[in-house]
Amino acid sequence: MRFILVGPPNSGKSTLYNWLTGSLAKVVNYPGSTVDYMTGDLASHWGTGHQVQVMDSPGTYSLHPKSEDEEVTLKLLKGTDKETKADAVILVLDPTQLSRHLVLALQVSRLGYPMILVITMKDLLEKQKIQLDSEVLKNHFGAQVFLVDGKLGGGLEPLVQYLKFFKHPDHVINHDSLSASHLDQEIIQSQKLSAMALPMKEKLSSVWDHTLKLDSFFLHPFLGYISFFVIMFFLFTSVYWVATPLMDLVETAFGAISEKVIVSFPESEFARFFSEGIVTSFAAVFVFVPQIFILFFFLSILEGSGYLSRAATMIDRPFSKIGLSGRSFVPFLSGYACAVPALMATRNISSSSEKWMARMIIPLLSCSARLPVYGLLLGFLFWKSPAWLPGLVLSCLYILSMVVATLAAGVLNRFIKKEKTSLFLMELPLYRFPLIRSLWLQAWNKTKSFILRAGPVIFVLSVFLWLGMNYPKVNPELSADTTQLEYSYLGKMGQHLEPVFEPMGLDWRGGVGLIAAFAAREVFVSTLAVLYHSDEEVGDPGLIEKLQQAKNSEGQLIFTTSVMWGLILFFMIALQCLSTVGVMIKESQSWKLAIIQLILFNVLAYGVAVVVVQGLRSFGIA
Amino acid sequence: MNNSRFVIQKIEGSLELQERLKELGFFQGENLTVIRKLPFHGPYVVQTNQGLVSLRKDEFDSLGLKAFDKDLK
Repeated sequence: MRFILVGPPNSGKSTLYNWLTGSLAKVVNYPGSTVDYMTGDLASHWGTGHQVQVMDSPGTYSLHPKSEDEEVTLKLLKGTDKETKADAVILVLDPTQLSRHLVLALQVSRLGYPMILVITMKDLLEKQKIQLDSEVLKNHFGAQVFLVDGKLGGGLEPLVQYLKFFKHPDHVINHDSLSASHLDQEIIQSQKLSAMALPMKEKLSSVWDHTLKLDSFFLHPFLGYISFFVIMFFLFTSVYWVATPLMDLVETAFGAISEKVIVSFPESEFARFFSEGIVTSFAAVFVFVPQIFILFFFLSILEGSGYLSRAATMIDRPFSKIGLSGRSFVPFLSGYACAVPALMATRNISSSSEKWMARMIIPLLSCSARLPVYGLLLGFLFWKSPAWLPGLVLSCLYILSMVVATLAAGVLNRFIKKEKTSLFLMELPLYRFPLIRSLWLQAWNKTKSFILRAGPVIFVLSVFLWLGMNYPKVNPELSADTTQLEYSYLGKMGQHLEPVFEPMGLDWRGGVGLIAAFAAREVFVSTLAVLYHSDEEVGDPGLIEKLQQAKNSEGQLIFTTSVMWGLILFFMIALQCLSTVGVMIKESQSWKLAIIQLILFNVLAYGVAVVVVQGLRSFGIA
Repeated sequence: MNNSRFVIQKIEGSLELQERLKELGFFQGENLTVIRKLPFHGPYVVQTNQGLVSLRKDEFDSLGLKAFDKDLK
C-alpha cells in the first residue's frame, strides 16, 4: 500500500514523512524545500509486517502548477507512472491557514483518491484552546481526520494504526476534474468548510504575534538590512573561527597515525605508501570537515527558523536589477554549500528565463568543496596571523564570488529574452525554533555525504599519485643529479605540461594538482600534500610550511603572494565538479548548456588567474 | 502605509497571477493589513487571515483594495 503525502508548501509534510519513515528528509521552514519526491517504508519502530510505503511530494498550493516542483506533484497524482502510482492520498493541512489549504483538499478529492486528512500543529491548537470540529471535514471528504504535532510527534500512533490496516476501495482517477476545477467556487466552498470546522478561528491570529514582533525588526527598512548583513557575515566568518580548534584536533590525530605507522614499520615500502600517500592525502582534506559541518549547521538554522523567506524578500529588489528575483536567493545561498542541491532548488522559480540565469551562475558561488582550497591558500597567505584575519578575508571571498556571479548575471541578462511575467509572491512562515537534534542530524548527514563522496576519489588518486611519483625507480649510480620525482612517470608527464601552467606561476606539480582538482576540487589540497612531500625535511612540517619552502627547477620559490591570489581566483571561477555538470545536464535537459558552461568558466578562470599573477608581478608583488 | 488595513474588492492581473494570489489566501471580501513596505520600491509584506505574504509592487497593485477605515465611516 503506497500513500502519497500532499499538501501546500510549509504545511509540515516533510516533518510527517520523517516521523513516519524515520528517514531524514530535509525539513526547512521555507516554502518549497522538497523539489523531488521521496519514498520510504514505515519505520521499523512502528511495527513490522505491514506493507506501508510513504511518498513525500513537493508542496503545491493547487493542482494548477506554476513551477516545475509543483508539476512534479501533479504528475505523481495523475498516476500515469506505475512506479510512483499511489493507492491513497494523505493530505497535510495547516490549521492556521485552513481555508486556503482546503482548496487543495477539494481539488485532490475530486481526483477520486481515497483520502486521509492530517491536520498539523496540534500543539498550537491546544495551546490556544481552539477546538477543531473534525466531523465537518470527515463528513465532507468522507475521510478520517487526524491531528498531529510535528514537533514532538504527538498524535501519530492512531494515524499509523489506521495506515497499517487501511482498506482501499478501487478508485479511478478522474482526470476531467482537473480541467473542470473552478478556483473561485472552490474558495467559497473551502471558506464555508473552514468556518464550520474552526469556528474560533480569530483566536488563531494570535499565533502570529511573536512573528510580527520579530519581523518588525528583521524586515525593518534599516535594521533589517543591517541584521541581514550581520547574519551573513557571521555565517561565513564562523566557518573559520569556530572551526579552528576542531581542525587542529583533526590534524593532530592524522599526524599521530602517520608517525605511528612509520615508527612501527621503519623499512617497509607499504608503510611509506600508507603514511606518505594515503594518510597525507586524507589528512589534507579531512582537516576541513569541521568547517564544512559548521557551514551546513548554520545554514540549517537559517532554513529551519523561517528567516530565509525574509532574506529572500529583502534581496528581491537588488536581485531584480540583474534579472533575478528573491526566489533565487535560496538556491544562491545553498550554492554556497553545494551547487548540486542549489541547481535542484531552482525548480521553485516560476520564470524560465530566471531559472536559466540562476542555473548558469550558481556554479560560480563558492561551494564547500572550495573551502579546503581557500583554507589552504589563505592559511598560507595569512600564516601566523590571528584567526580573525583569514576569517575576514574568507567572508570577503564569499562576497567576491557573489559579485562575480552578479556580474555574470548582469552580462547574461543583456542577452537573454525575458518573459513578460515572473511571479515573486512568497509566503513568510511563522518563526520557529529549529530542533537542535534535527539541525545536528542534517548537518551531519550532509557532512557525511561530503566525506563519502570525497573519500574514494582521494583514495584512488592518492594511490595513482604515489605510484606515479615513486616509479620507475631512479638508479642513483646512473643519474646522480636527478631526483626520484623528476625521474618518475608523473614527473615526466608534468614537465611536458609545465608550459601551460607557467603563466599562472606554477611548476608542473601545481599543474598536476589543478588537473587532479577536476576529479573534485578538494583533491587539489591532498595532491599538493603528496607532491610537495620531501624526505629531506626534519620532523614533519605542515603542508603550508612545505609549500613555503617549495622551489621550482630554477631554485625560485613557487608559492608567492601573486601565485596564491591567482589560484584563489582560479578556484573561485573554475567549474571543476563533475556532479555539477551532471546535474546541470539533467535539470536543463541539454548537453549544450552544460558544455558551454564548463568550457567558458574554466577558460575564464585560467585567463583571470594569469592576468592576476602577471599583473601583481608587474607591480612588484612576487 | 505600515499597518494600514484594506478590504480586497477584486483581483486583477494575468490569470497565473490571479490564481496564485487566490491560492495564497487573497480572497475577495477579506481584509488585508500592510505590515511593511520595503525601501527602494521593494516588496510589500502583507498579512491576511491566511498568513504573511511578501509580494512585489506590481503584484500588490493587481489587488483591487479599498481602505478599511473609510469603509467604516
